[in-house]
Amino acid sequence: MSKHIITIIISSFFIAFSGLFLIVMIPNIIKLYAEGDEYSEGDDMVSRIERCDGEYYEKNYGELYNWLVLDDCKEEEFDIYWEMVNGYFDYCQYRQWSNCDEDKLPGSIEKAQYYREKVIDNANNVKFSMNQRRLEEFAEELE
Amino acid sequence: MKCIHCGANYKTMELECPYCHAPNPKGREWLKERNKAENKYKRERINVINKGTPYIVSRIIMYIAITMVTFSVISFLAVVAFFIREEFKSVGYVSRSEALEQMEKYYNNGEYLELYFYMSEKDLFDEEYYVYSQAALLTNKYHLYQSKKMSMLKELEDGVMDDDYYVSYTLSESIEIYKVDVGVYDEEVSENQAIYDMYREEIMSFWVGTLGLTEEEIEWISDKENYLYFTDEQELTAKIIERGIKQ
Repeated sequence: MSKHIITIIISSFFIAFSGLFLIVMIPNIIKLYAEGDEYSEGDDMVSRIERCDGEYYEKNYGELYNWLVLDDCKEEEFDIYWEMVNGYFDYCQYRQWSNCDEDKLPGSIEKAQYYREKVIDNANNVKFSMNQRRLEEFAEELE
Repeated sequence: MKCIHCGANYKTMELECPYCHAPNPKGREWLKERNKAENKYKRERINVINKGTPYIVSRIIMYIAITMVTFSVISFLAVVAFFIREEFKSVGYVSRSEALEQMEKYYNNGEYLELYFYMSEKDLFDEEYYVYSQAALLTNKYHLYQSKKMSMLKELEDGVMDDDYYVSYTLSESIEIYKVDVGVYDEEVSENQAIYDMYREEIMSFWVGTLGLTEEEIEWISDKENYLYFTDEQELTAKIIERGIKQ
């Protein structure tokens, strides 16, 4: 008699434990296999654009650059962000090189001139009108 | 048997003679015995059932438990299989020659950041690919440094620099890039000299043109023999902020 009771108790424990496990796991397993990767390709593009958009409008060009690189944003949709990031980068590089002393850092003048021309070129050849004002501001600050 | 009254032959279990209807005591006896046996059987049967119920119940519950445990194990294996599949998909094992070919392509094209992502994805960082590993890791550091530098300059422009995070980060990363401090791949190799020169030139201009470091400070931080403690970097960061960052 007692042998059967022990078996019943142990079996009930396993039933309860595995029942709980299955209740938790089965919906998640179905979801895992149904959704596969974290998101579909379409959602992936939307998420990437959203991330970039956020930083773009906040003018956080550093973080925008970071996302563009990390998310491997090479599609056409991201050209507007790359234009802004590259424009800001050239502007920063111009300021950096123009602050350097030619005596201490030979070649500074040449580098500064190179980036200056890039900043002016960026302002004159804007592809996306939303970037126009900002890129022109960079060029104006050179003078 | 024979009827004691009319002599006819009939079965012993009959209760009376089918011909003269005389009562058959043997038949009654047989019926009595049969009823007794039947009742005894019923009692025994109930006894057995009562004793056997826990046995049956335990058997049933045990089979249910085995089934559920089996399903649980299968579910667990399904999850493990999924993650193994995803791992294989993302790592996408390539042959050594394919990997080498791809890394060489990125390296020769100067696509060091792409090289970094490729090597990360395929888990290829290794002594065997020392040159590529170093170039990739150094470039990744350089990319992060540039990103934080731009953020720092933006904060300065907007006048919202609340803490020294970006200054400290860019200073620290620039020192590591200059010294080629990329973990186990910190021995300089001639193949990557062009990369070192390119990054060092930019960092030198950052130190001079943006952070406004003095010659002594530059000599101190750029010397590979000097180990800079966290407190040293913090002190230097504070000096830089006090002097004012050039814009």
